[in-house]
Amino acid sequence: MKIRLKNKIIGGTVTAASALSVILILGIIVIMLVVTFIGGKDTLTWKFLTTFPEEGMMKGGIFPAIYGTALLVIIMSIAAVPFGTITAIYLTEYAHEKSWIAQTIRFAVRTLATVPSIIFGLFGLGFFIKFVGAGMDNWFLGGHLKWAQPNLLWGSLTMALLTLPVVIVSVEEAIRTVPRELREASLALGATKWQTIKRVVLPGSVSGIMTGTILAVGRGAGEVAPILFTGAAYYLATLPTSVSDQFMNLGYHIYVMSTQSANVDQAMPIQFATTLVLLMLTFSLNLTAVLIRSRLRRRMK
Amino acid sequence: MERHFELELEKLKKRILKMGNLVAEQVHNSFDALLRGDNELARQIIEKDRKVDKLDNKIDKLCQTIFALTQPVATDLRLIMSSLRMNNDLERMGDHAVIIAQKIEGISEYPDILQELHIGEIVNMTDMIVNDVNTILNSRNTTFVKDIFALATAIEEKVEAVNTRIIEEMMHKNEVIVVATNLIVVLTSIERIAGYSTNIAESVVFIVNGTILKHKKKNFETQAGAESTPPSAEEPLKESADLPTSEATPSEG
Amino acid sequence: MKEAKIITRDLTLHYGQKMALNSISMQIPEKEVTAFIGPSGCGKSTFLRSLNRMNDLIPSVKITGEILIDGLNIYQKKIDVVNLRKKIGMVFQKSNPFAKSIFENVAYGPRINGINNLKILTEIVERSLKNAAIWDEVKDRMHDSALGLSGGQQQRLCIARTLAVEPEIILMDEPASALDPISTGKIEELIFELKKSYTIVIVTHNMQQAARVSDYTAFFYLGELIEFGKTRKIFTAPDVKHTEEYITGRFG
Repeated sequence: MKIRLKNKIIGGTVTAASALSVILILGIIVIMLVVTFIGGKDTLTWKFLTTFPEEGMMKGGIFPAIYGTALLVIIMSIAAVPFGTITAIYLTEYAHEKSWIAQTIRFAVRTLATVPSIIFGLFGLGFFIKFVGAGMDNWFLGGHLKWAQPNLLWGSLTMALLTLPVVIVSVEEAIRTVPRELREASLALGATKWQTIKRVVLPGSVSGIMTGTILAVGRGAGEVAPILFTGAAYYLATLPTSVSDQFMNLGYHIYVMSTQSANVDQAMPIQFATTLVLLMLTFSLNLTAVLIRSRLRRRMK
Repeated sequence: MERHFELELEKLKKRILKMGNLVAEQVHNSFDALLRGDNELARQIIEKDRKVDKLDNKIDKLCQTIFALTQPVATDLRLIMSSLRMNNDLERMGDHAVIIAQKIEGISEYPDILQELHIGEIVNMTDMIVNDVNTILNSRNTTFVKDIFALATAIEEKVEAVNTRIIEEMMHKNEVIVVATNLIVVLTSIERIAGYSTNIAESVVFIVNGTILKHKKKNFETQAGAESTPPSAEEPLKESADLPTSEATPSEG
Repeated sequence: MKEAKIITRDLTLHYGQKMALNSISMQIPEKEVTAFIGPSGCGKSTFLRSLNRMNDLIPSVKITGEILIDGLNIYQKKIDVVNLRKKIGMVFQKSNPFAKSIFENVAYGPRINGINNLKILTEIVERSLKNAAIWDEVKDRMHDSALGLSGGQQQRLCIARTLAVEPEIILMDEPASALDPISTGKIEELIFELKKSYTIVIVTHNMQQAARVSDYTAFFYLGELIEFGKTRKIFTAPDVKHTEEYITGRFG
């Protein structure tokens, strides 16, 4: 009887605790959404999304920030997705599970995922701008300053480094769900390993690659630290026209308006609306990724 | 697998028919030789028995293979089981044709006895029954089966009557004893040929509608009336367990 | 016995430290069906997968002895495994069509061999599907997904896909174990047709199936070849007591 009672108490406590934490998490999300929604709903109009900031960003829209963010994630994806996919293919198809090189790469990927994002920013500044950019200017432009400063390309590449682990892990997972039977069928028909990967494994992993891309885009759209030193601009009167231009960014825009603004209180509605846009963007991207991934998991069974 | 399996079954059916024709010919020739006292024909019959034996072996082996490799059921199972039995019966009929052929020389000393005892009539009846059975085997038409049973009974009675007369003859005339003894052997063989014929007729019935007729020939008339009797529930196939020791077969003397 | 297509000599295979096949020597005749039977884990599938070097995919496998196909040792260094597998088709236990159309499944082999002419491909696909006895069922929906076919149809499609590469040998790893009796019958009938043109080796758990489809049967037990001979002989009067006990269901 005693043991039973004890078990009951423990069980009840654990249940209550987990219920509480679930409620807490949900509550935080709901509060976040409700507050930003209430604060930003009046400002969030079509015009807000499509016009430039005005009067020292106290009025007007956020179009350059949206545009800059979009360019950032597109270039980042172009860099991160193929690179991540190739790495994932190497890890799953070519490297032996226990070889030191595969182990090393896996360790590196895991470590990369835990590095604080501001470190990526510093790395980008040091590596891309001060080393690669300056090198390019010296070699090709005879010291003329063009690449050795923050711009869209360096920002995107730095962001690509940050999101690479996400892509690698997603694609790896997807490749593993392609049944062994299909690979064997292809090989038994006299296909080479590469033909098998190209014609069977990759087409079967498309949804995984898509999930990886979307998750990476979601992450990249929300992060500010990596682009802080490598490309994001406080304010630009024109849209970037080349990868060597600086750009505006939603996350950075929020940061700027809430800390550097001439009148923080007056800019409040714009801040809320911008936050709402960024939240909706990252939420919907994540939701899409979750949906694709759950479909993938079902196929695995 | 159906078509492949069908091929094997067709092969079996063909071989059984071939066996049927061969044995019917052997029996017919032995009767012919007996009535005409043809020793040359008798020699040929004895010679040809090797062919019967060979075919018998071939059919046995084929049945074994089909059983082992294809696990037949229902109609196919009945066909193969019956084929084994019919094969056995036909082979025995062939042996009796040989026995008759062997005794012809012993009877030819006193050929008139055949006429005196109207052996020709029995021989013709038996020839008829063998032919009928062969027809049934070919056509799978079981309507005449009851006629065969009736004919077999008639032959049995006639042989018994003739045997009684032979014994009377032997008591009066010492000189016919050798011939008469031989004739008794021949008559026994004739009777058995008729007996085996009914066995084969039974097997055909078993193939066609799954009824086991052994020991129940008398009931058959009512059953044969209802043309297409389905494999009846009151005749469970488990009776087939005692098939190899077929009691309907006349015991060997 | 017809001429031997595949000859193995003292073939021994280890998974790491564990011996899976112990010195197997046998001659598999050309254009006949040879069945491998034996309880689970007896090595029959492993042996089958050695014949097209599918075991190469498992890193811990070590093989000694030789396998000669048409007199050529397939474990020689200079052998091109890709070409070898074109010559030796394989049909698997679970039907495994690609997530492509019926047409593209069958055209897969020819395409990786560089055939891209649609007219030639169409001919190959049609011929292969006909030879696999599935043409009539799929001819009106060649461009539908192969995954919409029934299990038995998928397996025959996989056979058609194998035939499209024009192999000389077809290895079948329990090709009907996941199918219903009707589909199984169709596959077995197909095997009977195919042996006119191909050397077929089939692994099966189903002894009756081995009896029905094969001309030769090999009985494996604990990685050893216990008995190999004509199916008729094995199933009516096997020489080895062990074989008799297995096929009569007295052990295993």
